[in-house]
Amino acid sequence: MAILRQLVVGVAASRPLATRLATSRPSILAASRLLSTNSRQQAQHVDHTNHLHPGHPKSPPLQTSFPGEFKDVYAGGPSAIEKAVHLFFFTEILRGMWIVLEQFFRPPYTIMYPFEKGPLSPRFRGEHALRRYPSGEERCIACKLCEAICPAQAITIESEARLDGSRKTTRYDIDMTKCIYCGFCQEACPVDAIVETQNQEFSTETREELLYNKEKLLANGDRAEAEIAANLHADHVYR
Amino acid sequence: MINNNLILIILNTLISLIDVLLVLLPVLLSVAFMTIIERKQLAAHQRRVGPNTVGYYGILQPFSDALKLILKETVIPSQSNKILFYLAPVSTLIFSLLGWGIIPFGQGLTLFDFSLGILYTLALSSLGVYGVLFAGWSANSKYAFLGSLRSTAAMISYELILSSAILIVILLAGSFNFTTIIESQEAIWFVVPLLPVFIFYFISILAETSRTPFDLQEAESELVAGFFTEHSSIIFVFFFLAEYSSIVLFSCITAILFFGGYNMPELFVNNTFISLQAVVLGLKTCVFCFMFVWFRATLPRLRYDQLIEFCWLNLLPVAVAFIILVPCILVAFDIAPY
Amino acid sequence: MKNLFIDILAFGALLSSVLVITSKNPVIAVIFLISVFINAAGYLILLGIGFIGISYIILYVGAIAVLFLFVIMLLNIRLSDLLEAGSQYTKNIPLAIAIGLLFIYEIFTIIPFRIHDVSLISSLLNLITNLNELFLTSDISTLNVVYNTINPILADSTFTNFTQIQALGQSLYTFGAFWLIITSVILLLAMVAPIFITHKSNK
Repeated sequence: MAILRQLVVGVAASRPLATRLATSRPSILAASRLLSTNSRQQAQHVDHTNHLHPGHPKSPPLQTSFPGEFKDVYAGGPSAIEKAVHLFFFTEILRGMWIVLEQFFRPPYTIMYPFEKGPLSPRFRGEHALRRYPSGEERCIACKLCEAICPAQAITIESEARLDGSRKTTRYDIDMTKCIYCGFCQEACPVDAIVETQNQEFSTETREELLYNKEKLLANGDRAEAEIAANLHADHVYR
Repeated sequence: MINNNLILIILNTLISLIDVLLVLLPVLLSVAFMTIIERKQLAAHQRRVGPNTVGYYGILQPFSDALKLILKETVIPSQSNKILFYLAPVSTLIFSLLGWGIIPFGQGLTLFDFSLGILYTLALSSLGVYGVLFAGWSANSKYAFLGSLRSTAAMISYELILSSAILIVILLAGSFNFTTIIESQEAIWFVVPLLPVFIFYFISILAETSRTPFDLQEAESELVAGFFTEHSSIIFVFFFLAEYSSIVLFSCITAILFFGGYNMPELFVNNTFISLQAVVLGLKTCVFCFMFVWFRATLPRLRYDQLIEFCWLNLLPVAVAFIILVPCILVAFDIAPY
Repeated sequence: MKNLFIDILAFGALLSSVLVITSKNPVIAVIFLISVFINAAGYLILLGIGFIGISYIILYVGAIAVLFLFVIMLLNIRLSDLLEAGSQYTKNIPLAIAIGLLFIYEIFTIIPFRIHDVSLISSLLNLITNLNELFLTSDISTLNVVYNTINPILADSTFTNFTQIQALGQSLYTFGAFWLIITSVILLLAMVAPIFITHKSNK
């Protein structure tokens, strides 16, 4: 039995470690033994099973040796010529350079921004908009939940009864320079009146244009209603 | 008779001037395009796109860079030594461009077929150190001064290795003349018998031009900008041009010393109506410029004491060993070139 | 034309050397020292021995002057102290002129040169020759020995046509081999000694 165990272990230990190199897209040349300078190849077989069962007595070593035997600990490692070649000809640097050269011939990941844009999820929080019902009535009922929850206190609301008696706002300002685009107002609103669209390209040249008032927000909403509705529908399961 | 002499002198001077312009203008253009090649190639190695807005694929980027730098405001520190402040980058550029005077673009086709060409190149690389030294000192600023001292120390250390490597090539070639060196590589390019010499020669060239992995002196993210911190606009353009001109010049010299220069094995018979020799030299120079940028894309930076230790403790013994080995072999087999 | 350039370079070297010792800022002094070296190198190149001229640039300008500059830049020299000490230099000038004249007299006695076209120096040399004849009552034939040593136009060297480096090697490695080995040992000592002095032993 011991002889069989020895044979099995011997075969397992001699399988070349180079084929087990875990690189994402392993290049052919680097995997070959010539340029591979993985030091695992040059390591000795160390018995790590000791710490797994600490209390048990150590099993006898698999390779038998009698006391007094001359055991060359450098036997399995790299020869002097190999070490000299690795030292003078910078083999690990060459391996790194080969990998970089392969990358040279592969296509870049860059997106040409104004002409191509990256994907945005439906939950993306961008410019704010005030929505309306399909009948045209504005959704906002001046409950001031959004004003209360806004961490940056960017929303200012004043409300009055409208002429036909419904509760609506007279003043709904969002200071976009204070807003941190966290989306709490959109989560707090009970009627889905204030939402954040996917638009993040609304930079202006003066600061005053970024202090949005109710008309601007309503106009945003009118312009982007289809997109807002689609985003809300895509995400409504999770809300 | 005096009139004739005078006309001859003037004509000769004019022709020499045109010769120099014929070499210098393409060199300056190549230096300008080297900057955009570096940026685009570095980007390609890093799977991104370099500058691509200015011309087709960004070809005109160096001209817009130069224009921007020229139009910048030149700020000179008040306590600086103004003469040296201007002269240092000017001298660096002059010595970088002077090196092109003896490069052969064909058989004997140089501005000056100097019998001591290699010594001229070594002298210019020694003189190039002064631009760095005086630029940092004259700026009267601590960081610029320290950066220039470190840069200078690294440059003069690696000059030793460079001279050793070139000396070994001279031993094989038998002459200091560039054309003779190229012709003596007809049998075999010197990179084949002298591959280890080529390796430490290339390392010393990377250090001479302060390129990665030896560019701690101008590590743009670490020091402010090294020895040219205080130099702005036009002055900075000169340093910039001088650095890239040295890169192209040293690539050319590598091609000449180790890779056969303008010669290509029997494939091209140079009896056509255009001389393909200059094209071959240009292509080989391009390969080495590619390698410069390739090294920059791959390797991290060496710390300064590692740099100096590498030169004096690791490379210098190897260089001295080869200086002893190669003449011994040449004498033992009686193959010394006379 | 070439003689004009040689004269300009020689004059430049002399002027730079004077400015080396009279500049107050030490870095400017080293810059003028570099200018002396470059003028001397140009002079040698125009004389025809280009190898030694370019070696001047590589070694003197490229290594030695850099060493000087390093030391001067790293010393914390206060320029104000130097500017104040002006009068201490000027009070020694008469003594300097006297020693300089003595030196010129002795050198010009030994070394002759072709001075047919420079009348100023030929009159000076005539003065010195006359002074010699006045002081030395015996014959001055011993001067010829010195002349022949320095300017040997022997028959041997007119037949061969070496390049400069071959000429240098031909005499340096055969006739001067012993001196070459001795100077190399001196250089080795010069290299090893500073390393030994500045080496910090980790004991």
